[in-house]
Amino acid sequence: MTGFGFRLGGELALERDRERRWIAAVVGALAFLATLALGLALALAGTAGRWQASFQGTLTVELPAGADNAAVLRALRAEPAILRVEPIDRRRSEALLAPWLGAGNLADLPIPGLIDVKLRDGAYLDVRSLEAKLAALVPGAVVDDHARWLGGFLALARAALIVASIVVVAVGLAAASCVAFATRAGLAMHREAVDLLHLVGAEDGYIAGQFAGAAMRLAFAGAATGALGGAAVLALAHSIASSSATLAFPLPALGALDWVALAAIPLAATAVAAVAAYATVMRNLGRIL
Amino acid sequence: MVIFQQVGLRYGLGPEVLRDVSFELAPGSFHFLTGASGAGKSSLLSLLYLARVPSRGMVHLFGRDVSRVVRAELPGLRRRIGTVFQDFRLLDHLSVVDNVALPLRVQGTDERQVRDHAAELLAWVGLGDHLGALPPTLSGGQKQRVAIARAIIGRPQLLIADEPTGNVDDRIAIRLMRLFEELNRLGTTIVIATHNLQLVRESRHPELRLDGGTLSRHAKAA
Ligand SMILES: Nc1ncnc2c1ncn2[C@@H]1O[C@H](COP(=O)(O)OP(=O)(O)OP(=O)(O)O)[C@@H](O)[C@H]1O
Ligand SMILES: [Mg+2]
Repeated sequence: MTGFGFRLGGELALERDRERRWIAAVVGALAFLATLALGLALALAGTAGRWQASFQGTLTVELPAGADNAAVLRALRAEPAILRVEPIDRRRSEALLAPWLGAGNLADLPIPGLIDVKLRDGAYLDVRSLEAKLAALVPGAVVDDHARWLGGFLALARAALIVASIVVVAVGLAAASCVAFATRAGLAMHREAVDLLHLVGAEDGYIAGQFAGAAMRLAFAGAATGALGGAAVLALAHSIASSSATLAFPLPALGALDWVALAAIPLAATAVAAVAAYATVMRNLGRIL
Repeated sequence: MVIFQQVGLRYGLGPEVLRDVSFELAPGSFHFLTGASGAGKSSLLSLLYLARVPSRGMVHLFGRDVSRVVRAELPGLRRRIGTVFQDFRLLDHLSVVDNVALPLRVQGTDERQVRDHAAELLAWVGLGDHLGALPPTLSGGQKQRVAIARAIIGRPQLLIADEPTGNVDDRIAIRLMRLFEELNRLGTTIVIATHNLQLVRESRHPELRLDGGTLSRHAKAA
């Protein structure tokens, strides 16, 4: 039917042009990259956040192998800021180490004594002075508040997020310039029809709207495909990494909010394409009567 | 309605195809524009329907100096003008009824009204059976009538027609002329460029004659 073509794409029938379909492929590839970059960074940040939360308010006391922990336990339990003190017995330590060292090699190994300490919610404890106190009881006692390596990991996650944001912005700019380029070509190709629309009284925005609509459809088709591809790769990477015993830590899973952020990528790509096409047409029409 | 003062027009760096053209069209008037092929009729009309601005001189339209009109005002002025182009300029991928509807659609007129109105006009020019046809499947005369329907659908105050009877037989030419007369009676100012001197002679309307880019005669006072 005649009305259908009109309603789909307007009088310029831009949706029929095969010349600009590559836009969908380019935007799709860019959305794929953006999804991967952002997905990995979000997963890393999520893990860092979860670990930080789970170590919040916990300490680990390390005693030299063979040391007597009774005095240390008493001193710890006397601290008002401490909620719970739980020594890790030799069997549990061995179980923790077995995957790394092999179960058979542990028997004669001097394994340091470990004590898990849980602080009261919101309580403050000076870790250094606690350490000094314990070292007086058992020379070589160390109090680890996980700050050092957790801090490094948090910084890494933050850096990954920054890099991913830069990638997303760069990818968005690349998509915008592709759309602008394709739109200029489309304007030239449809010059006669555009002139006619002007002569029968169309405003520039009416014409720009048709180009924006066409660019949006192409960009959305491409970006949705690319983002789905990226999400599939992320899910696959996660399942491979978590089933593999060789990794030091499992590749983290994405949370619900992370998936929402990733879903925003094709929507953002669509919006970028619409704005780029609209602005390109408006700027270029300003130069002709 | 229209005032031309010492208007000159050149394409790019070429020679002036219009020179010192001065005339005035009163509201509600009806003029023929004649002249040999290449005399500059279509060029002059293109200044009237605001496709170009003059290289020199002054063009006033609806009381506005065209050279002072800002871009955002052009659509509003153009909607008061209906044009039948010499080469029709129909959009080949749109049906006949969608081509005719174009001036109303770009204004955002209600869709039901647009289709009814377009279909009605097409019936009137004898193309009621061709609403869904695509322009490439039409004869020259049929295309011309589609172009005329498109030019008048927006009820323009100024109707410009470039050789509107060039491709139709006498019977349809007479019918189209009656249509133009009728629109003129309703107040539309009309300018028709034509080679058809017989048409001009048989009519009581004045003639603007172009000769090598200059307006040489302003015959038959209105
Ligand atoms: N777009 C253009 N670019 C350059 N020259 C042009 C253009 N259009 C017209 N001309 C020139 O301007 C002159 C007048 O042309 P125009 O089309 O106005 O004549 P016309 O009177 O309408 O002729 P016809 O009766 O054949 O339609 C011609 O010499 C033509 O070559
Ligand atoms: Mg001509």
